[in-house]
Amino acid sequence: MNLNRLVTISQKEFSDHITSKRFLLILLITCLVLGVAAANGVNHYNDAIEMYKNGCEGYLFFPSVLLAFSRITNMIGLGGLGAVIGIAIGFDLVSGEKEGNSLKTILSQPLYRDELINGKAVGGIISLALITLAGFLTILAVFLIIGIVPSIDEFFLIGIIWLITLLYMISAFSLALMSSVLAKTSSGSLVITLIILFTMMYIIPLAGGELGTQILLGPEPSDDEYGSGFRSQVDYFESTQYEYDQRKSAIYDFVGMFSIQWVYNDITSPITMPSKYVINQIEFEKFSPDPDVSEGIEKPSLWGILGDKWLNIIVFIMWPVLFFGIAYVRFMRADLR
Amino acid sequence: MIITENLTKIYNGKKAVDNLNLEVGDGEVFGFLGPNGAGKSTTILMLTGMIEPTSGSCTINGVNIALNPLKGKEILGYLPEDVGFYKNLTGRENLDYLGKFYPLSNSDREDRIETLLKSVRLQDVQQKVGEYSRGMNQRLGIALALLNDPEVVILDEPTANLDPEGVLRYREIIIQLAKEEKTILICSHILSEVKAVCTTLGILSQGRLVARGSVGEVEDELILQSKTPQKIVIRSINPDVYGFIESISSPDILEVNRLRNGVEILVKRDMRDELAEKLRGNCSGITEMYLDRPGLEDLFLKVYRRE
Repeated sequence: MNLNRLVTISQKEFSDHITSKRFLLILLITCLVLGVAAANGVNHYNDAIEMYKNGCEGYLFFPSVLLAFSRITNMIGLGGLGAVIGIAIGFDLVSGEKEGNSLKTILSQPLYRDELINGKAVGGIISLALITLAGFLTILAVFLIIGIVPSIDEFFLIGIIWLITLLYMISAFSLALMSSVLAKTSSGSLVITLIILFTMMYIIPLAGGELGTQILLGPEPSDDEYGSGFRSQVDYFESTQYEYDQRKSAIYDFVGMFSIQWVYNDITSPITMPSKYVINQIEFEKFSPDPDVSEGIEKPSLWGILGDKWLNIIVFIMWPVLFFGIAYVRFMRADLR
Repeated sequence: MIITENLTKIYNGKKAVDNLNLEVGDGEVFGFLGPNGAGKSTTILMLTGMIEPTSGSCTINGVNIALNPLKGKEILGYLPEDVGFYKNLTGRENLDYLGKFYPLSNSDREDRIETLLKSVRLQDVQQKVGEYSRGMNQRLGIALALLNDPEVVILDEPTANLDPEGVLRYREIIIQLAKEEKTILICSHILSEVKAVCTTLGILSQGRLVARGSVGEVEDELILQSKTPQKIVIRSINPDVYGFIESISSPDILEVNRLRNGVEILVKRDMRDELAEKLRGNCSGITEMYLDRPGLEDLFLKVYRRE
């Protein structure tokens, strides 16, 4: 692969993206939605400070401005904004060229196929970086207008969230790129992308979780089996139920990894909502949480969170690599007749 | 020069191109003909390095295209059938982008683009390619095929969508390229066009080269294959000519018909020299003798209609 040719293709792809009406529309919508979500997040952040001061449950640590990002990441992840942006940038990259007959034209020039597909991917990723950067700058602008100035540490964590958000969009983008290689038309590519995404986001996590639980664990323990009245029997039932729930949760966590949305939220939520993350961990580790649990508990560090979520991070990187790998292999072997 | 040696391509167990041995020399304008599905496009895709042969080889000016596709593409100009461009760019921008893949300096590339756009009458067009007519698109395709000043040019249906003026300009370009000793391979269904510009022809059928030679030689071959009789017409003021011709006994003469001012002879092959020899001194008053045979298009249809 020649770097000059790769740069030439990437430049052209990037230029095509940023000069298209579609890109401008995406940029506008992203900035608008994230701006509104930021304003909403700031309200949530202010409420959380009040609740913390009033000693409300659920807030172990003084809320940071990152809490405002919980609304933003929800909008990007569960709200589907990130997936929509990734798909919109990638779904017609190759299929559009097939439809317009320009694929044969470009491939008849002295360049390798891998340079073309890599160039398209790089151009698309730079465009996504630009969109997310514009979105995050809009968020910061909203913060500053409202009078919230993040600290250096918070800026660093916002940067990490930006990076994870970009990676999330790249996953959706590489899925769309793969579909555009597989499909002959852009509409076909969009349909394939949506089917795969829908299957990964909803069908596998929900149906797979339920099916996995039924196959591996069987039915939920019933208290009828243990009779009633004796304390030892109740304790036994509760521990059996707890074990069952934990194993069921592990199955759901595993199948949840098929959902890039779920993985995105699972990685970002400990950063944006550390109190909730710590409480959830305590509840899982100890069956009965101590009411004075907040005392002596340290706020989790970024490295601690990343260390805890390493499997999710690997999966999060694995999906775009897998999608792009399929796109790459299929494109290299594509029949140009 | 284009050379293919035992070039074969198999798709799903079916031979699309079957041991093709072809040689197109410098300065030759070679018309590559064949019915649909004969393997022309597959051959062209192999020649242009877009697909790899199953076996055999093709070389462009000594460069094995499968082993060194980039070097091959650098010396090759290719106009694909239904050539497509980036619709969001102008013709000039398209050529500039595609030209960046060739070893040309920026100024050389710009000069070359300017010359080519003038040559295909698109130099003043500022529209995006998406707004081009099909003819303009085709003209831009011809410019693209010549962008790198190629030593070998392969044109797939070059006159499709061109207006009469465009066709004339295209012919001038081909003649000029031939003068410059470039190797040109033209694949077209418009046989009259092929006949107008090509010095040699080759016919591909079921992946095999079934005829190769000058236009006349290929026509002879098609006449043989189609078993189509040719007509020799003799115009004469001498009414005895009919009787004389009828008296000639030859297995190649199929039928003799009397015309108002001469005779019409259906023959298996061109016998004009023999007839002239026999008529000389035996029959006076001959004013004209010519061979009237079906055109390339008719012969081609006759042989390949069933395919």
